[in-house]
Amino acid sequence: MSFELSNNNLLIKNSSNEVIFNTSTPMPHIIQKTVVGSPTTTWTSNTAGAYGNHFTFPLANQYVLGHMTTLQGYNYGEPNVTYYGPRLRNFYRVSRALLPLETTTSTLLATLNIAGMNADFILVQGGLARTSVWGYGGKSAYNDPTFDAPFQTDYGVFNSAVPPMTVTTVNGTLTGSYNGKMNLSGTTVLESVFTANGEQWLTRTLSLRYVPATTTSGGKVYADWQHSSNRWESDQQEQVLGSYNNNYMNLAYSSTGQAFLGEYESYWDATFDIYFGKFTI
Amino acid sequence: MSKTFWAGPEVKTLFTGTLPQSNVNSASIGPYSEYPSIAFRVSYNGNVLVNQTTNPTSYDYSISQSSSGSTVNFHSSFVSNLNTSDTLIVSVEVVDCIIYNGDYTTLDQFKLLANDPAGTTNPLTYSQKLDSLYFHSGLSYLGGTETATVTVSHPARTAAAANATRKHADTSYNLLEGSQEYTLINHSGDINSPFIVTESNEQLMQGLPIQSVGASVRSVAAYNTGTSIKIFEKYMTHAVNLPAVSKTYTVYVFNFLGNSTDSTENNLKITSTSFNAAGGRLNTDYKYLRKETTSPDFYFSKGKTADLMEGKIKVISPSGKVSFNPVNVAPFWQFRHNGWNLINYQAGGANQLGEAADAYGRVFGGGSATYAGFIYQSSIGYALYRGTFGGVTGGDDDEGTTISSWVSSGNSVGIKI
Repeated sequence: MSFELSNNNLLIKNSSNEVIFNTSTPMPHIIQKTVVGSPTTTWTSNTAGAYGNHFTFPLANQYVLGHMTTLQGYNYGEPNVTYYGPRLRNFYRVSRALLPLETTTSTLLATLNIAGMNADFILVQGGLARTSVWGYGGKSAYNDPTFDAPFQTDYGVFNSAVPPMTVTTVNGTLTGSYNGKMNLSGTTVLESVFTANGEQWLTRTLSLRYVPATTTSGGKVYADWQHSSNRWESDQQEQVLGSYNNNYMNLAYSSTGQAFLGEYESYWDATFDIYFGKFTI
Repeated sequence: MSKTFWAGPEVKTLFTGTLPQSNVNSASIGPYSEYPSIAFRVSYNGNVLVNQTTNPTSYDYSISQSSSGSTVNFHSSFVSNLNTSDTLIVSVEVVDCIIYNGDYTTLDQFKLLANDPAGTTNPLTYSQKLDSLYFHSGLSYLGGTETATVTVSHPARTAAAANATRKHADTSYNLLEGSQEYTLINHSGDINSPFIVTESNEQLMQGLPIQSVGASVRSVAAYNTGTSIKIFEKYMTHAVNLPAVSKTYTVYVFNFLGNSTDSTENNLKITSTSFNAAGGRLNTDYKYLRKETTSPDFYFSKGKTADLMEGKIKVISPSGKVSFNPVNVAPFWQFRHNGWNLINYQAGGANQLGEAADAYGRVFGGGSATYAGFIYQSSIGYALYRGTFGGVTGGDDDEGTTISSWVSSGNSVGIKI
């Protein structure tokens, strides 16, 4: 252990000769901690919470593609029908489709309580949970309890490496709670979907963003919940047989209905411990 | 200007006034984030009360300590004296340590803590103090870092078998998914202990794929169980195997350095191997975090480290390195001349051939009569992300930003333990 004073600089080393303290090196310290959300929150259904987010596709982005082929023929496949001369019949190939979608939902998490003061750094810990597992999404579609996430018909389950919430069952009721805490500084990938050649088709992230102070407010930290997905047209086309001499089919009443079902939605809940930090000089 | 190192006793007033009814009912007041119990001084209607730590058999109050701090508990023999109209003063004697920019004559301006009590006369504002401080034991420091470097062998994950009922991009595959956990370190902190994990010397982005082959993907995230830091691996395979892969992770778990609850540390202690002052807050047994610009162990980030567009992601680690920016690996046609691939040639360059590259660094059509090359099928791809995060991204050798500009622009700050 040593104290060294030279050139107006104080250097403190421990018994292993490692630098413990040096007045020429700024040291980080925490000037404010703000906790939002409750780490002991539990859920029994899809829940986004005050600091979480509900991701969904707006109906305006969903549509149905229809390709019409007109055929001409006699007695086309129907039994017990006798035709007299050529007649027209339309076939439709119908598939579901989606426009590209880019959305970001921002939530104010914390503000430094001294107006005009900026943080030199932020450190964010927190609980994070996808609550979309209640027999919803993949479970209902695949009838398989191991697929417990939202899914997309062509590309499969929304993959997520965020540790799943801890689930307990009491009298048949599932209750979820946070599974530990994560370092949430910067950006966290919440869930992603890949096409057959490995390209990301959909990605959802959570980013923590610092906004500098103003004369009337201290620095702020926001949570940005971002969604991005590419154009999609389903490979799974459905063939629909029109009636005779009917040139048009009202696709709004096609058997495919609207383009998407609720499996594409997902709910995320979060709790945050936000540390505002500064450096000494 | 000179620097001053000062360590000495201070008396901090924690409460002064009449006792609230709730405290009369509970016969206690607190908790206060001060330690140890021997340092507390309680005065009631001008009379100094006896602390249990000074007289264990005949005392007026005792101090109980928890993670929230220290609580003053009035002894049963004194409870009948409590009244809401009486005056109570709770103070604590501590040894503070301050290192600041200035000479000894300005010491009093730095003695008080960041949360100066309202009404306290002090010529320096909180911000002004911070502008001149190297160290103040009243601040909350990070240090005592526990660290470990662990190589995790992520095992092979087999491809899913074909299944006619589950369709994936016009082909029917089964979907196999699963997870596995790996412990990086068992730590002495708790569920609130902040931590950072790096992988191959770059900060691990939570949830990011660490391996993908076709549509089969393996992603990881790190989390704190309260007693350990674990890596959570999630894999999902389609038609392609994921071969085994090894990743080396380094984990740093931080502690907030607070006052010691050890009564013996409320003194200045200097031994042949250690220096301890200010209730243990300045302690050579700690390894304090320090700012580092040349070779930091990790970074604190102030903003997002990734952006999305058309479903694709571009990741810029807090160091400024573009750590994830997939390229389209599908074959396409491009110019080649004298063995050079001309994908990123800009207009006006010395070896220009073909038209100027577009905003993403790709060259289409054209060609020079002088430098007539030939077209060949290339497997070199271009970045799939088309946004502007970190600068426009071109080919796989164009990351759109540099390490130095990212950090110096204030996006993150380097730290050394």
